[in-house]
Amino acid sequence: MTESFSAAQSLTAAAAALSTGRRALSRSFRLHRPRGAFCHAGWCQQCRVSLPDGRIALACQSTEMPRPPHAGWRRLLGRLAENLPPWFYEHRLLAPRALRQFYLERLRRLSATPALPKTLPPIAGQWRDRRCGTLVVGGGLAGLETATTLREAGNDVLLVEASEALGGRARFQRAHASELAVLLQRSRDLPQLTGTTCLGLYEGAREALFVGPEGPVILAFDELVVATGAYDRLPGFAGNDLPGIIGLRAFERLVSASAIPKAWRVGVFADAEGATAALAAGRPLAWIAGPADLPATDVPRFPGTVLISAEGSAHVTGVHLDPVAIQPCDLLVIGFSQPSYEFQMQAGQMALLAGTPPVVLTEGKARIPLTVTGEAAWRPASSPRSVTRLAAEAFLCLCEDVRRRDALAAIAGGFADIELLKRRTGAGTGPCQGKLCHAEMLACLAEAGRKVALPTVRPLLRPTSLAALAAADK
Amino acid sequence: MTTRADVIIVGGGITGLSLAVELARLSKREILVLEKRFTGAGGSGRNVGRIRAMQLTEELARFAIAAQAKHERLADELGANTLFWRAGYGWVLYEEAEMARMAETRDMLRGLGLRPELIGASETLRRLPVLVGGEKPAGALMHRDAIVHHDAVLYAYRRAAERLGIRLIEDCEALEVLASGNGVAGLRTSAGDIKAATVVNAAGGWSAAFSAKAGVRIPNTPLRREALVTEAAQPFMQAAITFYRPQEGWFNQTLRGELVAGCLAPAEEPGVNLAATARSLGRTARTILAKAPRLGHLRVVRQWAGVYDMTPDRKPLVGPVARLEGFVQANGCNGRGFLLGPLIGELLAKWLHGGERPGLLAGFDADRFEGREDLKVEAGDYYAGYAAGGTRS
Repeated sequence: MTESFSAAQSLTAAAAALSTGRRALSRSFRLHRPRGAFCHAGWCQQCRVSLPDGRIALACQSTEMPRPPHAGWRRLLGRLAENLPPWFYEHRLLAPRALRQFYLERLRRLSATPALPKTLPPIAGQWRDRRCGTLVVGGGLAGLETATTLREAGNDVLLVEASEALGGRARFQRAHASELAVLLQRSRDLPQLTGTTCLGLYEGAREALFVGPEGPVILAFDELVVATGAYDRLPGFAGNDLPGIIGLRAFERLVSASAIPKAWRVGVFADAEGATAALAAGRPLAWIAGPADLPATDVPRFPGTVLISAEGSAHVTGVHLDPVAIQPCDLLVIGFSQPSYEFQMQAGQMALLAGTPPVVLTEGKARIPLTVTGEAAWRPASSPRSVTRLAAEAFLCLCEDVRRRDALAAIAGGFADIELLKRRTGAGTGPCQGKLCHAEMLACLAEAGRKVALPTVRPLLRPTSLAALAAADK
Repeated sequence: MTTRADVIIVGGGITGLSLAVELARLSKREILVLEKRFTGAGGSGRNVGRIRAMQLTEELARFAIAAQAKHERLADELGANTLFWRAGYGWVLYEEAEMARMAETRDMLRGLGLRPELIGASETLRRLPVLVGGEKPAGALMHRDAIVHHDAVLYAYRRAAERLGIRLIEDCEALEVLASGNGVAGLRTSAGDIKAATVVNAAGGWSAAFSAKAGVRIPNTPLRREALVTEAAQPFMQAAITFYRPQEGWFNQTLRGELVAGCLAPAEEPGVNLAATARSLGRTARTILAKAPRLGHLRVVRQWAGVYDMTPDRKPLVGPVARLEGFVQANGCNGRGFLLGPLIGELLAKWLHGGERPGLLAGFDADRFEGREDLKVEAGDYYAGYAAGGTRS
């Protein structure tokens, strides 16, 4: 009893919910579709919930169990909206004229957003200035290694890590445990800020803004090392928004927290690299599918298959693979990488699209001395064959409920520039700020023969409460 | 690339697009709108769609009331919903001196046919409950003012322009106004020369710089303003709020449920600068939460900067320039561009078409700073900018 209690204490609310079989945590903004955590790491924003006292939080970043999401008539409302594009109002809600204001005042009540808490949030901390020679963002293996080596060579280094603990992805990978332990030992005296999130680069990328336990910090630096790792890439297949679809890195976290119910069948659809990592996590798998070069394993494998769709209504129950039949699963792990790119863009690099499924990469000259290391510098192996079937009804932007067909319609309607496409559809303007959708947006533009460029990557790179920003000025 | 047009409008924002659409409706002309980046890349895509009829001077208020009425008609004129929403507006006052001043403003606005109400402290908290828990207000001037969705308006114009055969050229920069004798001969652009007898400067924050390319100096001054937007939540407020004490700040909830907010930067350097700053986040958060502390729960997802095209007397510049025949100003909106753009387009189109200046534009003569081009824009206190009926120089 005691043991299971302490284990439950260490789980995030999203992981704890999963361990009890609950995959859906929230409802989507416009269509009220059930959604669950995809990343379990604080960036995908799909597990935004209301806590019992009314505060809004991410279930993957909180240990308090959330209130269940709204159901009932709102879900019905979402069904009615299913076939409407994001600009549905363009030729609607105008007649009769006398009801125009009424329509708008009703419309604003129909989203699935949480209510603003009634309490007054505490305001604490203070804005501070700081400077360093080399700023290393990201305290995973690559960031630790780079920072420690620079420090040992006598450089003025500061390492900043968003999590409370250093180690990044390696914390959840048994294969890297000893390497991490050695690095943590070597980096004991390294100047570091943990639990501190970088919100973006400012002043021509000469300064960075962080929010940490003691308040916001404006940090001036000479050189930047980006070691912010990679995201899990969610390709545009049908049913890709179902709860129970998680990223590979989320899978590693959940396995190390023993949060996946033992009886669950876990299916993995991944490239060779992702499949290898999923096998290394140590959790028994029901099957692995993906491109032809999948690693050899005892697990039933379907190499050379294409992911047609994820099946299920309240959560994922299986996948439809081509050319094999439907494979059942209770959890679907998607194993493709999207290197993080926001800092590189803010530092002045340009975006390009590469790989299968296509991911955003950056290249070109930066305004500041810039080094990109670790998974942030990952490049996809070239693979000519597509691994998922692009579906019109697939979600491109989960935050704003934008489907691929909406983006393609907008492009065909003349909104064929990334900035116009973003504004026309709302894709990329929600809480995740494009992390889930930028690659898919660019893929849609590329399919239509349009220029591939990212919209300006504006701060804040992570949503941050007004209360945290309202800390006293010095 | 086209090599000639009847009218070239420089600036693909709301003023340029509305002028193009209105002109095309009046007669068949070859109209070209030139945009350096994309529709709405400037102020038209960086504002939050608050279109306030309540202004501090009678001249501006009269024009603003007509401009708001134009916005209300736009959905029918353009055949697309612009999400014109009478959310209401609360000009919240924190000093007794403001109450006295606003009593005069209320009377002036009533004289123009509006029905604003000046309410006391407790009524302010009752009608604007989002302020509960914050600094105690002295009162508020309330009016049924409106908010539109800026992209909905812009794209309605964009589509109307398409239907009317107007050529919108994006990613193309105006480099130089070509003259012959005393008149405009055309425009040199990054995509080649275009012959035209009329060139309109609807470049918003970039209008002083573009005007200089025609050899016409104007005292317009670009001034950066920053804003932020939070994630969406269920409705927690309706009327948009603005206050000027102890420093200027504003916030409102959009139809989608996000909070948009901003505040004045006390020492902003003039110039086009679209970079957002880290400091403005703290300044805005502190300024807003001092008045409405509950909003502190909301998470900011994005911040950005826009640019106001300021004039020394806070009034726009609209109409032909005497010094260079065929060169026309449509700028200087002082942060009111999204409100005024559609009406300026309509009136200026009539003027260019019929040759007679509409009465509403009488105070906005494009040559009124001739010989006084070095007048400075004083960017500080809001009330002072409108002192003495906006005639201060």
